[in-house]
Parts: sequence; C-alpha cells; structure tokens
Amino acid sequence: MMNRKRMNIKILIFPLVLFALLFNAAAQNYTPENQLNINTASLRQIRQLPVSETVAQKIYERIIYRGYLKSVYDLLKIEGIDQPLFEKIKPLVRIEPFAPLNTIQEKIEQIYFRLDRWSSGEGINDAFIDLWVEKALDPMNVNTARYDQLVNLQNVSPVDAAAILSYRNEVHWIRDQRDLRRTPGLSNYAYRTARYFLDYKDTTPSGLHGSILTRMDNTPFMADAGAQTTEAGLSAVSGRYVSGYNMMPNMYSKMRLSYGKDIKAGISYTRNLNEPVQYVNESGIKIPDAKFYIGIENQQFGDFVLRKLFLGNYKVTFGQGVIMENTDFFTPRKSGYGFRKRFTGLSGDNSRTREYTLRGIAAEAGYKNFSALGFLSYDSRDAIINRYNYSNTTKAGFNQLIVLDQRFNYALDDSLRGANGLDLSWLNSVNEMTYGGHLQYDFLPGTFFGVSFYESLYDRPLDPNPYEIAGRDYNGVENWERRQVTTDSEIKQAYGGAVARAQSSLWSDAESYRRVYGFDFQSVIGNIVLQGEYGELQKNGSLFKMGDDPKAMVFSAYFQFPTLNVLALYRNYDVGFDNPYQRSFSNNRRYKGTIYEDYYYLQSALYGQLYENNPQPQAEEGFYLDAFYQMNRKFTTRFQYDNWVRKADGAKHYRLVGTLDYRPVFPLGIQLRQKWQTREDQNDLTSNLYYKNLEFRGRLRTRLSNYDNLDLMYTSSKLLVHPRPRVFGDFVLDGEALTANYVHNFNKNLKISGMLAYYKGFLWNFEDTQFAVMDSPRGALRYWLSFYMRLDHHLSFRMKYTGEHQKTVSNVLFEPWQSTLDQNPDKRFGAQWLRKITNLYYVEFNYNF
Amino acid sequence: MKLIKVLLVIIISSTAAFAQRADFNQMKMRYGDDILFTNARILGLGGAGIAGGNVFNAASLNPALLSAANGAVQFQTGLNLTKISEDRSFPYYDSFVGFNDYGSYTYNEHWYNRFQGTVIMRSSLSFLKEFTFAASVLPFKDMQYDYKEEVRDPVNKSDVLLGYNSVVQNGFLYQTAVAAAYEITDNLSAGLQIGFLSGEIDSVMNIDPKYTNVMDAASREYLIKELDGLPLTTSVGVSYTYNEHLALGFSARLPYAVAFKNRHSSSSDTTTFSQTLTYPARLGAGLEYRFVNALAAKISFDIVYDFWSAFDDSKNPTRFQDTYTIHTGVEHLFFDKVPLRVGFLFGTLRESKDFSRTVLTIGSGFEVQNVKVDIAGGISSMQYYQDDYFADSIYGLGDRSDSDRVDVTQYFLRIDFNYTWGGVK
Repeated sequence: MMNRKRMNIKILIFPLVLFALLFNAAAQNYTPENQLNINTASLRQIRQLPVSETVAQKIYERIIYRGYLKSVYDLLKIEGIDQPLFEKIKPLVRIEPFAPLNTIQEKIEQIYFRLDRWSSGEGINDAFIDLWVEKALDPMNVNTARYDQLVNLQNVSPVDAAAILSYRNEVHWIRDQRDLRRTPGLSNYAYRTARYFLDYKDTTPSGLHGSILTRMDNTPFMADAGAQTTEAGLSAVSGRYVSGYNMMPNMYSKMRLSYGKDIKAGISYTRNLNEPVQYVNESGIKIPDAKFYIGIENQQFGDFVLRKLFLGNYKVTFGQGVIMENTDFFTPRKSGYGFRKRFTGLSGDNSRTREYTLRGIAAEAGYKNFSALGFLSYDSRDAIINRYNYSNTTKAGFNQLIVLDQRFNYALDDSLRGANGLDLSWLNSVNEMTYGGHLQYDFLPGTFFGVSFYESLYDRPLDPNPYEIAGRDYNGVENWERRQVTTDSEIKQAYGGAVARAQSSLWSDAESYRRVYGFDFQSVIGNIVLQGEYGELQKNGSLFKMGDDPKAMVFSAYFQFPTLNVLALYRNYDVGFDNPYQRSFSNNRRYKGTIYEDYYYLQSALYGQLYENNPQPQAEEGFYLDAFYQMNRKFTTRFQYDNWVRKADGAKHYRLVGTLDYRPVFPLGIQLRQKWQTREDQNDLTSNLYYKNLEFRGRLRTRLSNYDNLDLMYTSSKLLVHPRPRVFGDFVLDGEALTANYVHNFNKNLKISGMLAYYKGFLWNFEDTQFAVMDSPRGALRYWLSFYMRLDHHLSFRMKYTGEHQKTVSNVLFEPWQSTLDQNPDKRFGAQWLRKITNLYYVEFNYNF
Repeated sequence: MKLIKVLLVIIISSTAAFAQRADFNQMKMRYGDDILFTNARILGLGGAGIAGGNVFNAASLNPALLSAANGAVQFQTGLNLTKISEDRSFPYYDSFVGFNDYGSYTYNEHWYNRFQGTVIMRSSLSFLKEFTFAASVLPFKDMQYDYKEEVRDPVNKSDVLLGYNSVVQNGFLYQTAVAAAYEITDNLSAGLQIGFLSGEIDSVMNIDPKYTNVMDAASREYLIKELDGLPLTTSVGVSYTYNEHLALGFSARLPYAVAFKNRHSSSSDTTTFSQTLTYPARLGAGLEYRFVNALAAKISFDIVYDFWSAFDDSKNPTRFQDTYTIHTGVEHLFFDKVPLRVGFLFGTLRESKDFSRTVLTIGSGFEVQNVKVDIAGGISSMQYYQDDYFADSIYGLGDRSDSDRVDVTQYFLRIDFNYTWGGVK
C-alpha cells in the first residue's frame, strides 16, 4: 500500500519536474556563452531576447519572409533596432551558415536569368527549351553522353559535339569544367553554354522534377495575318454561319515532368485568340483538346540501347528537314546552326503545333554504330474539303491541309460550306495515318549516313482543285481562270489526284497517300562539317531510282574557327516536291506571289491562310553564305548573303545583310546593320512582282551596373514595290523608327523593363520575351512595361502591358460610281475618323521544380 | 412610334441573342456592373484579397477579415475614379465594294467619381474581445452610361449635319453595411455582413435634329427608376491562417432582390411599371502566400463564381450564364513601407462564357506613423460588335447592314487614406 502511494507521488512529481525543466529552458536568458541561433529561432525564443514584443515580431518576420540574416549587422536594418539595442542583442545571438539549398534550387539560382530568357522561345522551340531547362536543372554526364545528346544543346555545333567526344576518347574521363574548357576544337560559345548542361560524374537521379507554365495574352497575329483577322471580324458580324465569336485570349499551358533521368511526361494545351474551345468529347465529359506524351529514355540492354520511346504526341525531325519535321511554324533560313538550330531526332511534343501533330508511338534505338528511329501516328488534320464527291467515290476529297490561326468550325465567310450549307467543317476533316523511319550508320562521332522514309495515308481522296479555293468575280467568272499567274504553277503542281489514290492493307479507310523518302549524311572533319539531305516525293517514279520524281536537296559546309564561322549552303527544291512536312532551309514561303495571298480572289478570305500560315518552303534553288568574324575584342562582323531563284517563275532574288558590332569599352556597344533585298526587276514571266527593300538599323547598347541596360535604336527602311495590275504604278513605303528600351534589376527577384517607341511603316522588334511585328502606315507611338518577379526559387510571374496609339486620320472617303452607291445603300464608303488604340497584355506563371 | 421602339430596345426590352454580338452597354444600364475594386489595395492586386492582406478588404470581399484589425479604431476613406472611353466604328468600303477598314464615327470619354468610407472598431471589453465590428458605405453597382453621337449625311457627300443622338443614364447603387467578425481561434475567424442598397437611376434619350428636312425626328424620352423598398445584401466569410506563409479565405454572398418603380415619359405619354431584379449568389475562395523573398513577395489569388444563370428580371426574361473570375496579385515591399503591387483579373462575362474580360493593375503607397496612403490604377479594354445604336433611318437614310465595332477602354484609379487609432492587437 505504501509502495503504491510512493509510486503515485512519483507519477505526480515527474511531470512537474519535467515541466519545470522545460519552463526553465524556455525562459533561459541567452548569454555570450549560450547564444541564440537567430536564423532558426522561433518567435518564442526571440521574445527571450531583451527586445520589445514589436521588435521581436519584426525580427521574426524579417527572417521568415525575407530570408536568413547574412550577418548580425543585418539586425540594424530592422525597424525599432537602434545602435544601443543592437549592442545589447549582438552578444546574445549568432549567425550560422545557411541551410543549404537543394540541388534543383541551387541550379535554378545559377541559371535563373537563362530561364527568364528561354521562356521567350516557349511554344515554337519547345523540344529545345524543354531539353535545355531539364538538362540545366539535372545535367547529364559528359563522360557518358552520346553525340545526338550533345549536339542538341544550346550553341553546340556538330564540330563542338564531335570535339568533346574525341577529347573524351583521348583522356578517357573529363573530370571537371576546366577539363572541358581544354577540349581542342570546342568553341568558346559552346563551352560557355554547355557547361550549364553538363556534369562530370554520374549523379543520383533526382526523383520527380519538371516545370509548369501557363501563359495568357491578347497579342494579335502578325502583320498580314492581322489583316485577315480584321476580315474575320467583319465576317463574324455579318455572316450567318458563325459558330461563335468571342473575346477569349491566347492561352498556352503546359506541364513537363521527369522522373529520375529517363522517364518523361508532358501535357499541353493551346487556344488562340478569340477561338472557341475545341473538346475531345462533345457528348460526354468535355475535355479540352490537349496534347500529352509519356516516354522513357536511355535503356541499355547490352549493346542495344533504347534511346527513346514515346507514346502520345511527339515530334520527329530527320536530317535537314527536307523529308520530315513536324511543326506548324515556318522559320526562315533554318540552317541548323546558331539561332537557326534544328532539334534532331525524337522528343515529346509540348509545342503550340496543332496541325502537323504526330500522335501514336515512336521509338529511337541504337545498336553499336547503327541507330534507327521509327514512328506510327494517327491523328486528324484541318483541311479545306471540296464541295463535290471525288470521281466515282462517295467521299468529298480534301483540297489542302491548312494551318489555322483561329480554329472556328467553318470559314466564317464561306456560306456554301457552312453549317446551313453543305456543312463541310474544316476542323479535323481528314484523318491521317503516318508512319516512317530513319536508319543511320555512324562511321565516327558526327560522321554518318542515313536513309529516311515516311508515308501518310488519308481517309479522303487528296484532290487539290484550285477552283475550290479561288472564287468567282461579280460577273460569275472564275477568278482562277482569269487571275492565275506563272507562280501559281506551284498550286497547279500540288500533289494529289489520281496519282495519290491508294488502298492500304494497314488501314482499310485509306483513300489516298503521300510517300517521301531520301537519304542524308554528315561528316565532321576537324573543324569542318559537311551535311546534306536528298528527298523525293513519289509520284510515278520508281522507289529505287533517283531523279525520276519531284525532288529536294540541301547541302552545306560549315567551317568553325575560334573567331570565324562560315556556313555555305545550297538548296534546290522542285516545284512538284509538295511535302507538307518539309521544313528545310528557305527564304520565302511556298505561295508567295500567288493567288492565295490575294484574299479577294478566294472563296473565303480565310483561305488566305494557305499562303500566310504555310510552313512549307517554296520551290527555290539558291546559295547561302553566312560568315561571322570576330576581328578583335572590340569588333565583330556578320555577313549573310543569299541568292536564289524561285522555281515557279524563274525570278532571281538576293538578300544581303551586313552587321558590325563595335564595343569600344565593355559597357558600351554600337551595332550597325544594313539589309539589301530585291527581286530582279526584269523577269519575263512575272515582271510585275518587282520589289526592293533596304533597311538600316543602328543600336546603342549601354550596360549599366547590376545587369541593368539602356538600349537605343534607330531604323530606317524603304520598300519599293511594283504591285499587281490591280493597283497602278509603283509605290514606295518608307519606314522609320526610334526606340528606347530600359531594363532595371532591383535584385535577382524583381526586374522591371520598358520601352518607348515611335515608328512609321514596318518594324520588327524584340519586346521583352515577345517577338513583335508591327505595321503602321500613319505612324504610331508604342510603349510597354513589363514586370518579371521571381517569387521564390521555383515560381516566377511575368506581367506585361503594351499600348499603341496610331496616328489618327480624319475624313477618309472613296468616291465610287453613283450606280455602286445606289446598289449598296447599306454600305458606307468613307469614315469620319480612323482611330486605333491598342491595349495588349501578357501574363505568365512559370514553376520549375 | 418608331422612336419609342428605339428607346424600348435600348433601355427596357430583353435581348437574348449573344451568339455573335453583345450589348454590354445596354446590359450595364439595365442591371449594372459590380464594383470590384473598392479600395486601392484591392485594385493594385487585380481584385484579389479574400484570404487576407488588408482589414479593409472585409467590407467587399470577406467579412471574416475584420479579425485582422490591429487598432482600436481604423478608418479608411477614398476616392474611386473611373474613366470610360467608347469608340464606335463601322466598316467602310472602297470603290469596288471591298472591305477597307473600320472607321470611327463617334468617340465618348467620361470620368466618373465616387467617395467611400469604412470604419472598423475592435472593443477592449473582455466579453467582446473576440469580436470586431465595421460599418461601411461603398459604391456597389455601376449603372452609368453616357453616349452621344453626331450624325452627318454619309451618302450624298454633302457632309450636312443632320442631328445629335444621345443616351445618358446616371445611376449608382451604394451599399451601406454593418459587419461583425468573430475570432474563433488564433487561426480561424468567421464574419457576417448585412447591407442595404440605396440610389436612384435616371435615363434620358434624346434625338435632336439640326437639318430642316428631318426636324420631325425630334424626340426626348425619360426613364426614372426608384428603389421600391430596402434591398438587403448578406455576406458571410471565413478566414483561416494555416501558418506564417499561407492564409486561406472563403466567402459567399447570398442572392438578393432589388425592386424598382419605373416611370417612363415622353412628349406624348407617361407610363409606370414595377420591376424586380433578383441577383444571384456569389462564392469566392482565395489564398495568400508569403514567400521567403528579399522584397517580401506575397501572392494573392482568388477565384470567384457567380451563379448568373439564376438571375431573374421580372419584367424581361433574360438569360445569363454563370461566370468565373480569377484575380491574381503580387505585392513586394520596399524599405518595409513602400509596396509595389501588380495584379491581373481574368473572368468570363454573364452574357456568354465565350466572352471574357481582363484588367491589368498596378499600385503602390506609403506609410507615415498611423497614416497609410494607397494608390492604384488599372486598365481594361474590350471590343465587341453591336447593331447601330440609332438607326440611320431616323434621318431618312438607308440603315447600315453591318454592325458597329465598339472599342471600350476603362481606366480605374483609387486613392485611399487609412488611419489607425489605438494600440496594436
């Protein structure tokens, strides 16, 4: 009994003692011997210091909201702490080294400015941007990297990639950045960029990481496409066949995920200005039509390596893009070097491409010196459908594949094909099965020979009848008969008709097909790269005989020296080489100068997108020379010369651009750039298409402290055009612009930039992360202000406002014949004012983890 | 008769077809637009603030935020300025009847201003110490519209001045409200606000011919809408602080009815009729996250859902669609005293889910002892298509078959003065 009582007392006493001890500990006074580690202290602990409640709160908030104190003297910057109080606190607290950031956070801090810059390339160059962001945050081991992995890194040319592999073979192991820097033949540009993507040992896979981006803006389409949008707007209000007209912004969201180093996944969604949402399933749950992929990489099975395997949406590029590169976007002079780099091989597709998407399965594998890439895709395409059934079939043929700015169900002003007419929607109107492959043998790193092939099957006959695109004039006469010009031979020779009819054992629905094949090669010899690709579109010729079908080829030689790069490139594309996946080097779009660019001759103004949005190169033959030379630390020059013949009408063109960069002292740069471009004025076939374009740009760049900079630019241009017969006489468009651009970094977390510009005529410019093309015949004041905020290591927010005020004009009046006025009492032929004020916004969240 | 029809189209009758065109101006005159930015801080953050940030957000966003009051008495007053410019244009054609461009024929630009005030009290009495009370007078619904156009002869090339047309509506509904919040725990508060609406709306439409041959077209009509009874609004809210970095907020505004006695008069007759508008419920959720950042970055993010499909107009059946609005704002703090705020609002419109609205905002301020001054500005623009507001046939011309393009730009400006009496909580 006694023992039990003692036990009870002990049970009571124990917690009291424990409480007393804890209380004592909490209430202890900090001393020089027992200092408080203030960066990790709780509010309760800070209250134990000889400070008021308010000051304790402020110290605590300073640490948890603004980050750790770097020095005890940072306490002096806190409101309420004066010198005497500071001296009282100072001996009682200590600053210990910070808790280290995790690897991803550290990497983000090292390359945050690159992440900022790369975001401008999002959407079009996604394969690159995704790879660069991923490898910058989770670098690959340079000692095990393959050639195809290295050559896709930013600023790394085939010479650089081969140089790294050659040096690695020599030294067996590249130990660190200094070793990398010593690589013979590796250019300074490549080294300075590649070091961010490369590691020197195998690192532990970093678990799940990736990025999420969401962006919203109301930037209209560029230049001429903007004119189409106006037309579309007009159609939207006057047409009866509109599926809906709204005011929704451009929207682009994507998520990229990696698990470890080798498992990838992505999902993306794009919606363009004012277009309705397209859903996957209209009847059940409505899911917006998004793109997605999942993939696995670098699986080694003895000598066999499964380099990549993707399911879902993917991108494929062979060689120089003569045969296959599935993107909706045209990039002029895509040489594969420098800023015109081409992602080769296979990748998941998170881009804004919507027409030339590939969806299905694709794999890339290697066995010793052999590598192969194969894919199978089934996806729908937007296409203009003919209004009649193709001969002896029950199906209407499709006329042309089309890349749409705005994916409305119908062309707004084509009532015949509208919902109340023949109901021929152009959205997802053709299903396409495409399969193909590329087989390559590598003789040495960077030296290889490959063959490529693809075949597309369509579930409608391919029937590119131009009468179905061009309309009739007011007298009922076909515009195609009356208006076609020599350059329209490109339209006449569009692939299709009887030669494209097909049956396939792979797909019973197949009604037509297209088949393209060819070969490519590359050789790196020291600091020289020789490249080439040849392709044929099979028409009536033999698969194994070269030259009996429409063909296309690109050959180039690239010389790389420490201060000099020279690229020489030759291309030759036949008019009949109608390959919708061709994205090789080109200086004009396919239909430039044809009836497709004259909207008023077409059945719908929106069919002009066949010209405006076509990413396919035109038939041309030409020679291109690009040289970059750094004379010394102060002078850098660049020279681009292109001379080509348009195949359709034999018209010769040249384009010459010279750039001189002078940097007398580091913070000051002066750049002068002059462009001369012309089409020959004496051409027997299409003499009325003569034009000449001169453009001068002068820039003064001052780099201030803290990466701030001020950039002033003056441009002057002149465009002389001998227009089509519809307008008589030459006209000259003068352009002039003056811009001032300022970037201010408050710190690594907040950047404010802005621009003020006056321009008249045509102007292109980089505006923060956007590439803007402007045109104001009357002159305009344009300005923008952008905030870029890195809220923490992972999350950034960008918001930009752009305003533009075009010069106002009053009393515009046409004077048609009185009969025209009488026939159109509901129309107006003049306006009191032309006034245009534009307000644009751009908002973006980016989360890297 | 024709002119009365015009007026009816503009002010009274229903419009249900939004497939291609919109009548935003008419909808605003009939049903009003909610005032979203009731103080400068809210404006600077794109309308966000349900989860916290400022005790004065309580009056319009979430009454539970009153619990964050840090003085015995806090007072805010401010100036609420809005500028609206409207540019109307029509398509004009070249000599071949080819579409050329849109040409503007009238441009209206007006400033509107309103005052507001809120007072918040926190009692030191022990039995009331968990409670905070507030009273506020805030602009609630904007029904103003001011449109004038000059008509000249576009057909006969004589450029004769035919007349002036105008529609002017003055009208603002204010909300006078009392609110209370109860601090359930250190982290959790709940609030309730009850308010009543006041105001009067009057419209006048005027057709004022200036050319001899069309003087018969003259017309002037009035519509006066007086509140019938005392419309009550009720809002509830919850605020929860998860930790030092994250705070969450939820709010709801219950449906409310506004009854009007309308009197319409023209030169020939006067009619009266009643009308009850039942406005729908609103739900909102928000978060506020404070990052570890050298400039003390804080993000506010709200999503608000309005059940506009439940809206009812007793006089004219009107079909609206539910809307959602996203408010996002980021705040940095310089020198512990000077904020820099940028914000963004994106939302669908009740007329159609395919229409949207965007506002970009920026704000700042400063603090001197107990006085805090906040200032913010914002811009929003939209473009839509609408039939000619006053048909040309009024003046004997042929009506245009093309719709007008309407470009509307709104500029918002808010300046607030905040004063705090009493000690820190």
